[in-house]
Amino acid sequence: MEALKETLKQQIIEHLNLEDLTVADFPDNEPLFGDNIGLDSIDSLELIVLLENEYGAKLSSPEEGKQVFHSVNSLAEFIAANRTK
Amino acid sequence: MTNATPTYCHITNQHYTVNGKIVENTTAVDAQEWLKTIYTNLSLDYPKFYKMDGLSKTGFIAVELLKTAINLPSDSDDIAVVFVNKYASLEADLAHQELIEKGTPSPAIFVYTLPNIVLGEIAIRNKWYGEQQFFIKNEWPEELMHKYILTIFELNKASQIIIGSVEYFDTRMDAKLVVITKEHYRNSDVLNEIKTIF
Amino acid sequence: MIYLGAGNIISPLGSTTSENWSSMLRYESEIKAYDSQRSEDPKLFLSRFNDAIEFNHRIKQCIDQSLLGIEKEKLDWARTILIFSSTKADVEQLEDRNIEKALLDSTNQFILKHFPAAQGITVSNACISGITALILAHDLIATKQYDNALVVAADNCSTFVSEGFKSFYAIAPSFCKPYDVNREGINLGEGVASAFVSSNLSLFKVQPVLLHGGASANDANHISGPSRTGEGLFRATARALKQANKKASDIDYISAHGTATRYNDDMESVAIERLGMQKTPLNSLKGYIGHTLGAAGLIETLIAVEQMKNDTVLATKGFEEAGTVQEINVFSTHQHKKINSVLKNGSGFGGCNAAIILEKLT
Repeated sequence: MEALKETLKQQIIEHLNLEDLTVADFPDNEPLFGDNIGLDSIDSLELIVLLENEYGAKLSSPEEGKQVFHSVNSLAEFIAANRTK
Repeated sequence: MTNATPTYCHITNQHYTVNGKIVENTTAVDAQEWLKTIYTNLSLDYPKFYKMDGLSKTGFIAVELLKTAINLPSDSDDIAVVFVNKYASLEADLAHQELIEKGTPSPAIFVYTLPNIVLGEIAIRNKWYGEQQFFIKNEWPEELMHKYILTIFELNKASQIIIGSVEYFDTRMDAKLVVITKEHYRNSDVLNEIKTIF
Repeated sequence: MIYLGAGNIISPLGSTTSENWSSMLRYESEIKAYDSQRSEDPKLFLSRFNDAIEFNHRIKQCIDQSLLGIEKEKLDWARTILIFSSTKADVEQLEDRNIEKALLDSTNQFILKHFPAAQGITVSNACISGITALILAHDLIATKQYDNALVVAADNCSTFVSEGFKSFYAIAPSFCKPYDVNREGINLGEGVASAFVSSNLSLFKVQPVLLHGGASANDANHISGPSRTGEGLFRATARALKQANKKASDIDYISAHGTATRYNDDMESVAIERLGMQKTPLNSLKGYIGHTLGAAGLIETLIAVEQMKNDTVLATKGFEEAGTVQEINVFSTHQHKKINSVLKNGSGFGGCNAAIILEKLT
């Protein structure tokens, strides 16, 4: 799980063009849409694309994103449970 | 207080200038890297910059350059921003076209397939709620832009207008913006100066 | 005084304004289910032409029809500007990487070849392009820099656009339901419109309407998400009313945007409430012709003109039950109402918003 989280943080930074951030800026439990990391609605849609392309994991609807994308922890849990790649 | 001459800036792949003075040159050709260099030089703390497409980065940086030479207050209804170019958002369009051919469209790419998005990025950064317009023409329409500026001031639509050409396509980047106030507009010598800028 | 007239619309509902109007009166639409690019994806509900007419050619047809409404000997082309409004023009050219043909200015140059206006310019402001084209026409004529403007608007329903909106989860799984509690997104559409704006009343064979001008404003909030306070739409509309020397209470009918996404329609209702116009009859036409993007502002303004002429506010097709965060006066059957003054407004990607005011000529 730890290796997945590290890879995930790197993928998030690359995929969402967060060039001013490093893996160290992503504590596992930090709210992704909070003030520190500050993702927005387009980032949320891009995370759906990332999940599908990298892990073959699909959300049932964009609204499910609110829980799944809460933090790196919740993302990793979802991937572990739903990945097909 | 009005500046006697209008403030203007110019960015290309090779240099950037403010009021006709070169700030920095480069021999590097990568437009994206050059824009990031200028961003760093300006000490801007604005992470959203990295998400922008080439056209938006170019227009955004051009306005930030103007701000080094003239006060453009934030939270304003009174500043009009008007851009012109030939290629619209073609750089982003081609990126999106390639992704849809692969079957993997990206919302972050698609949103930039409209030329006016750069105006939105500038509005968000500066909290400018004023008039905006994006014109498409294959070359700078000097006469028509003068006519347009007249409509803005005669009809009291803004007290300042940031106007110019902003292009980013096929590795080529070129942005020239000028800030014109009502006072400038009334002074016909200044209008001739604007002609030489463009 | 500045006039808007000799308008024509070509949409899947018909090749003239009259055909489009008659279809809408009968609550008809040409929105149908089409296969998606990927066969495993749900069907796309679109309003599309099903002919082989090329993009530029259909534009020429539309303008030819508009010119039938003009006293040609009174039209001085040397004092006429062409304003073309589009978001993507002939974007399908990109499939073969035909860059030159995909350029918006290429269509503008094509129009100028056939219709010798003194100058041509294209406006590309997302979904408010059509309204900003009319505002520009008004302003250039109001300042006496031109006497006439030929305003043309066109956009296609392309895979380029539908795949993009799909990635935003903005496409409805069925017929769109503007302002409805069960709305789930947009239906894309395509169309062309053309009209003349002029300071010369005798240019028009059929009585035009007064065009009072308008304004645009940015939300300064987000490039794709509408402002929760309806900031830009509120400010654009307030400024347009000021330009037109009108109060909100002078407006008899609002031709609104109503794309049928959750966020857009809520945002519009917030702006309407801030303007104190909750009771003003309002509609969205997206249920009849889909969202025609850069053509929407002009097509919908021309249908607003028909509504004015007939003192009829069309139903919002697809609307059944109120579902916006603020109350608005939207309905599902056509209503008879005396209409003298109209507000047309809209919003688009990039946080842009625009509004324009029209008035019946008496």
